[in-house]
Amino acid sequence: MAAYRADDDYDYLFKLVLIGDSGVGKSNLLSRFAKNEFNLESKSTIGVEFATRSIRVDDKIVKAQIWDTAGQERYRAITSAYYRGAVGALLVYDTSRHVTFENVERWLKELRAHTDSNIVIMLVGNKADLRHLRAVPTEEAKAFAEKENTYFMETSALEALNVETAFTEVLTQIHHVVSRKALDAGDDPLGLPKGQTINVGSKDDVSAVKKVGCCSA
Amino acid sequence: MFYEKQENLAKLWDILAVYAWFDKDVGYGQGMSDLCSPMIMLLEDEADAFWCFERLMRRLRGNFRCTGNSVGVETQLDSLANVTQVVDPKLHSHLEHLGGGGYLFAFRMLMVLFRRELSFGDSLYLWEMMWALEYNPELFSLYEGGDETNSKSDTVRLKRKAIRQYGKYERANRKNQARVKPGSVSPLPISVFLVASVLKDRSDKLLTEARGLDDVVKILNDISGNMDAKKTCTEAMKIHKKYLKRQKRHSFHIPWLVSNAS
Repeated sequence: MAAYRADDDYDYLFKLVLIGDSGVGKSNLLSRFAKNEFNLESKSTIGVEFATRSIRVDDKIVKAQIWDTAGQERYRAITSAYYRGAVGALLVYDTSRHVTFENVERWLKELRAHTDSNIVIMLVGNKADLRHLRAVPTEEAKAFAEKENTYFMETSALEALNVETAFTEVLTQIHHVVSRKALDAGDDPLGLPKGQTINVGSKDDVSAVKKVGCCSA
Repeated sequence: MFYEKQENLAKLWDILAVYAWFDKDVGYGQGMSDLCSPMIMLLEDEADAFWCFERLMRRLRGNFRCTGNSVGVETQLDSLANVTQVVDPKLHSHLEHLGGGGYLFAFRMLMVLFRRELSFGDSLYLWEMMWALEYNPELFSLYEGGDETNSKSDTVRLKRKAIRQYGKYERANRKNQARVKPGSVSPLPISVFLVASVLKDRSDKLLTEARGLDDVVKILNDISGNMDAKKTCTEAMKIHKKYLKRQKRHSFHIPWLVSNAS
């Protein structure tokens, strides 16, 4: 391993993507998780950006490499190129704008078309702090997540509500999937030649560990 | 912060909304605010700011245009790949090997002309240098007359005196066009060479340290705040010169050009 990575000690490297309509708070979810920062006046993401953070999952150090993407429809051709190799995704909508929830179905379709079928997906209703403006009932989103076999959580990047839990849950579930499988050095689903190579296993594994988590509204 | 004031933010909103209505083919694209915001800060009058932004968009609107499953900027990304392949083949093949042959990592630099890589002052400094280098004395009439005069002026032979008025970059393109068959090479915007210059500057780092696309993005993101606008321009001009030279050398292998020369 090259010298510049010597301080970077981890057991697993998981690539996650943050997707969803523009303005739902993807970049702030990421900065809250990676740097514990929130910016009310953040600019739109142009193309992609990424940040990393290592956390302990069970007894392993998991390094999350999280790719934040531009939400605007016209840039999907560009951003979807970065889905490749992702083992987890947070599909974000804004609980105060129903249209962003309506678009979730298309995002999901797009995500599944570009990624491995074993990808761990969490539907994330962000801006839960805007209680007086709520436009998407928790039950509606929860039912959708159950139907689509994804995890679900409501968050507030502003209030740092459930952000840590959401990312940790996704990373833990990915870890469960991979640790139940024998390590296979010859097949690296991340497409990244570093860290320990993992195999996310067969389709059944994801549904086997699937459970719906939810915050109180 | 300038845009913490509601009235300034309202101006930005107005101009972008009017532009989306004005240019229906392109509409609104994320990143336009980065291009528009300096106009509002520099020009107090909202209408003046709008028209300056609109003139800037004449150069850049192609990047934002969305057709089917692709975005206009991909043309410039292809050109960048082309240029890098010619001037730094080792880096190009390394990037290709890492799956970055589409040069998508340069998307932001081309879309918002380094606004996110440089401070406000430095980016305006760079823009001014870019536009001076790309200056064309016919620019005003080109803008006023639209596309028709554009193609006509290309065929007009340039007088020696007139060519001296061109910016350095545009002059090199004009001279090059006069050498090859007129209209056979359409000149690239200087921004492509500026990105090529940024890549070249990080070439060693990219070659030795980048082992995945994530590393490429990281290395290029780290340039935020430590990019020298003037140095980048100088290097871009060198790369442009080299590119035109190589291009000329290649074009001499084309039979019709050889027969034309004899």
